[in-house]
Amino acid sequence: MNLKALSRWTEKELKYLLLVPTILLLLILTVYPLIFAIIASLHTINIRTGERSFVGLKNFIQIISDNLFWNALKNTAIYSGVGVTVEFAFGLGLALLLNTRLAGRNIFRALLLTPMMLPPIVVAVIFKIMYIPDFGVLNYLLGLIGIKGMIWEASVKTALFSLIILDIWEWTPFMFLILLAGLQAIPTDPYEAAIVDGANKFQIFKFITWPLLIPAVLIALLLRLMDTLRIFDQVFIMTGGGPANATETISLYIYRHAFRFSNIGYATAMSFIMLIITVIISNVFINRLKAEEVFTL
Amino acid sequence: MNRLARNLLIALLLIGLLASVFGGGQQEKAKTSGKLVLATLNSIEGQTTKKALIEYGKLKGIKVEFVEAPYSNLFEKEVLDMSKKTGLYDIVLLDDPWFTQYAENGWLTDLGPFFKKRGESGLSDDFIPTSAAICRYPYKTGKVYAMPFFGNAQMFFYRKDLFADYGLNRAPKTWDEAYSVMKKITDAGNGIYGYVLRGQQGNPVVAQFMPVFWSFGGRMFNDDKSIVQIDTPEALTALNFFLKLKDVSPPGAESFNAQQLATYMLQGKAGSTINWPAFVPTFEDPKQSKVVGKIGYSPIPAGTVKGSSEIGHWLVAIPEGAKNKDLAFDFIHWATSAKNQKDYALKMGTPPTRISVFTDPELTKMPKFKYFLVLKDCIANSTPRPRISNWNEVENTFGIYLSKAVAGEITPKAALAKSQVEVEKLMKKAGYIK
Repeated sequence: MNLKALSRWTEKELKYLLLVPTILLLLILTVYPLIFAIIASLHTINIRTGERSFVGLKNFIQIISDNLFWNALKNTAIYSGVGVTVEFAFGLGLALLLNTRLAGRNIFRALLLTPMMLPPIVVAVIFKIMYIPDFGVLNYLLGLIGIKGMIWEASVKTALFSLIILDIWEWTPFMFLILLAGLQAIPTDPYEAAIVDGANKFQIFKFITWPLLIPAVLIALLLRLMDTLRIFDQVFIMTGGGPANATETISLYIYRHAFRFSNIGYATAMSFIMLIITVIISNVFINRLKAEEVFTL
Repeated sequence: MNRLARNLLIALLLIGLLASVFGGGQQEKAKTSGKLVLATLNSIEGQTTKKALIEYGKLKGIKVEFVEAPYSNLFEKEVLDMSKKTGLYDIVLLDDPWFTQYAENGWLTDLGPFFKKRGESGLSDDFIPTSAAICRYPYKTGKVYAMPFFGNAQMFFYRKDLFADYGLNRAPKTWDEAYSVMKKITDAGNGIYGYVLRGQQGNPVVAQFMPVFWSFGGRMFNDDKSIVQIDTPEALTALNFFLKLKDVSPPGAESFNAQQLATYMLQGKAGSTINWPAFVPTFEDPKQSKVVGKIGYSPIPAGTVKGSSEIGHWLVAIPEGAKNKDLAFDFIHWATSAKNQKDYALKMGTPPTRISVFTDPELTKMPKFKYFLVLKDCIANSTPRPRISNWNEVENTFGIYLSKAVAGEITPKAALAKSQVEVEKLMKKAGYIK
C-alpha cells in the first residue's frame, strides 16, 4: 500500500479514527466495570472471610425479602420526590423573578449561588448545630415568633424532612441556575408579539415561557433526581440513618454492606437494582428531551 | 435552541468547576524499598503517629511516607490493602474493634519473633494489662499482633459544683446515687439537664449503652460466643435504666453524637455524661469552655455490679504483606516506649498506654493531666467490645433496635427480643453458633 492510498484511507475513515480514544475510555471506565458488577452481583463475595462463590440470583432474591432495603428505598423515594419538587418550585420562582430588570439582580444572583458552593459535609455539620433543640438557632427563631420548637432530625416523624430542608437549601440554587439559563435563551420576539396581541402575564407564561422552558426544566429535574437518588453525605453526618432507621437511604445501606460488613456481592446486587431504577427514570426524561428536539440521539 | 444549549453548557461547566475545586481527593503514593509507609488517621492520634514517624525517619535517616484518611476511609483502605496483600503499608494505625477481624484473617504480622530478636519476652509489663490484652488474638491469651499506642476508655464526666449543690460532694459511686442527682438537676428547670445521652443510631448509641449494660451484669455473649445473651433480665434492667437516662437528657438526644455531648457540657447545660477522654483538653480550655475546673472525672458508676468502661484504643500493627517488617517493628517499639509516650502527652495531649507514664508525677501534677490517674483506672477496669470478627454487623443491627427503643418506637422488651433473633442469625452466618 503506498502512502497516497493510506492517506486516502485515513481521509475516508477519519471520523471513526477520531472516535477510537473515546470508545476506549468508555470501554475501560464504563463497560468493563458494568460487566464486572453484573458478574459480582451473582456471587457471594466477602472480603473479610475471603469467601467467593457463584450463587446465581440468590442476592437478588434476598434483596426482595430484605425489609431494610425496602425501607431505605422508600426513604430515598420520599427524599427525592419531595426534595426535587420543592427545589423546582423555588428555583423556578427565583429564576422568573431574577430574569426581570430588578435593581441589583446581579448581586442577588451571586448571593443565591453560595449555598451550592459549600461542601455538603460542611453544610450538614452546620445544620446539625442549628437543629439542636435547646440552643440551636432554628428553635430560637421559631421561639421569637411564638412557635414551639421542634426536635428536627432527632424525631422519627420529622427526621427525613429535616434532611430534605437541608437539601432544598443547598440545591435550589442549582435549579435556579439552570432555569435562569433556560429563560435567558428564550428569544424576545414572541413576547413582543404577545404583548401587541394583548396577552396578560399569566397567558404569556403559559403559552410562551413554559413551552420554551421545558427542555431546561427536564434537564434540571433529571440531574437533581439522579443526584438525590444517591444521597449519602448529609445523612451520614446528620443521623447515621437513624433514629429508628427513619433516614436510612439506599446509598447508606449499600455503603454499610460494601465497606463496613465487606459483603461486596450483596452490595453490588443492590447497586445494580439502583442502576436499573435510575436508568428507567433517566430514559423517561431523555425521551421527552428527544421529543422536544433539544438534541437528537 | 443554540442559545439554550450554550447557556446550559456554561452553567454545567461552572458547576463542574466548583465540584472539582471542592472535591479534590488525596493522593496515594506507592511504596518503594527502604521506606516506611504508614496508614494513619486524620485525628490528633493520627497526627501524633505521623509526627512520630517523621521524627523516627530523621533519627534513622530513612524515607517515610503517609496515607492519611478519616475514620471510616482508613478502615476501608486498610482492609483493601491487607485482604489483597498488596503490601502498600508497613505500619497501620487501627482502632481496637477492627483488630479481631484483622488478626483472625491472618492479615497482621505475629510480633513474637521480633520481640525475641530483641531479647524481650513480649509486650512490656508496663502496659496496662487490659491494653495489652486487646493486642492479642485470641483475646488476652493468644499471640501479640499489635502494640497499644493511645489509651482510651470512656469516663463518667460530671459537674462537681452542680452535684455538690444537690448534696453529693464526690463522684457518684452507683447509678442510683447519680440518677437521683441528675433528676433533681433536670427537674429544677434551669435549662440544665442532669445527663446528656449519646443516642444516634449505629455505633454511637451502642457505645453509650455498653457501659450501662455491663454495670448491670449484662454480657452480650458467653465466653466462646456460642450463646447470644441480649434478651436477658440483666439487659432489660440495663435498657430500662438507659431510657431513664434519656428522660433526664435534653430533647433531641435521639440523634446526639459525641460532639453534641461535648457541646452541652462546654455550654454548662449538662450535669453529666459518658464520653471519651479526647474531650478533656477542650473542657479545660477557657477559650471554648464555660466550665473550666468544674468537671469531675470518674469511673462508670456501679449498677448491680461494678461499672466498666468500653475500651477504645488506637493500636499500631504491621500488615502481613508489609515489605519492611524489621524496620516497622523497630519504629512501633520505639514510638510506644515510655519516653516517647510521655513526650507525645506533653506536646500533643494524647493519652498513653503505659502505667509509668500515667503515674508520672511530672505529668499528674499538671492540671491538664489530673485526669490521667482516673483514666488509668478506667482502662484497667474496662471491657472490650465483643471480640468477634463480624462486630461491625452485630453493632449495626443492635444499634437499629436500640435506636428504636430510644425513639420510643418499640418497647425495651421487644427491642431486646428482636436484637436477640437478628444477632443470632449473624452469629450463625459467621460460624460462631454451630
